[in-house]
Amino acid sequence: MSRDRIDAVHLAWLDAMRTNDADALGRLVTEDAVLMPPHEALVVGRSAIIEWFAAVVRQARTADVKVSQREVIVAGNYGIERGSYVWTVSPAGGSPVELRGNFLAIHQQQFDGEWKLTRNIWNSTLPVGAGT
Amino acid sequence: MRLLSACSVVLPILVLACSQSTPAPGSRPDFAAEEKAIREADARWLKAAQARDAAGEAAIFASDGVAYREHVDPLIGPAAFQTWGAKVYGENPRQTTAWTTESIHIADSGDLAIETGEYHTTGIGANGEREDKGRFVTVWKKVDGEWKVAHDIGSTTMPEAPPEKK
Repeated sequence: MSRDRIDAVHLAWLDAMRTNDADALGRLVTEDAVLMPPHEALVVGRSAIIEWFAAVVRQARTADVKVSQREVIVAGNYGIERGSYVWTVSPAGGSPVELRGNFLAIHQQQFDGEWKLTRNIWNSTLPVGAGT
Repeated sequence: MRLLSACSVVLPILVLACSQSTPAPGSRPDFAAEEKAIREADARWLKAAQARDAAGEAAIFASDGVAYREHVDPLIGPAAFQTWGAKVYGENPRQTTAWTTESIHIADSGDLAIETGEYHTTGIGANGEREDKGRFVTVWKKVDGEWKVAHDIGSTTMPEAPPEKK
């Protein structure tokens, strides 16, 4: 049951990215969630996360995102999700760019039983200087 | 009498409610003790890292533990981590890494924990002239009563390097 709900959050997350919908992304995270994008400062809190993704979209819209080698562990009130991603973005006026790497996401069950994402960290497997 | 009657009905319900919400003695994890054990395991890992001991670092991982490092494919299992670590130390003779723990959260099941913090790697490169700083998340799980690394990922906060010249 918990696993199903975590999977639903995962799918909704990918959908929010693909539709470039920052508000939808914000609905999936806890109020105090933290994103850890490479080469950037921490993004702390739901509002900051919405602003961060809106800024990403203004810079380069997400054309697609795919996840592979995904694994989920559920232990009590925490769910650990890990995997590899291919994130295709289309910079304004530029050609699409494929970003590749690995991620680790922490889901936490809330008092109302809902699962939300509370930490998300990712890095790049591309060669140095090829982008994140 | 009426009051007494009411209490005699309500009290057993309250007692029952309390008995249902209170875990039996010994069933609740000792979170303070678990956190201490995790910090000790993390200290052993840090000591091995400072000593550039790839085998010592690999021993901290669970048999199916996974490490995500920048610019390489996932390292799955202690042997993969040791091989990668030995290669990195061989190519970077002055490289060492230190880290500080920011938080440790233990799941209410008591068998999984999440550590976050910051790392600082110095001495990168043949002459040890480069450094890297970033954040990490480590997921610990209990294996046969011992805390082992299930997942570990680092993500740099350094500015992105320009493309390498060909």
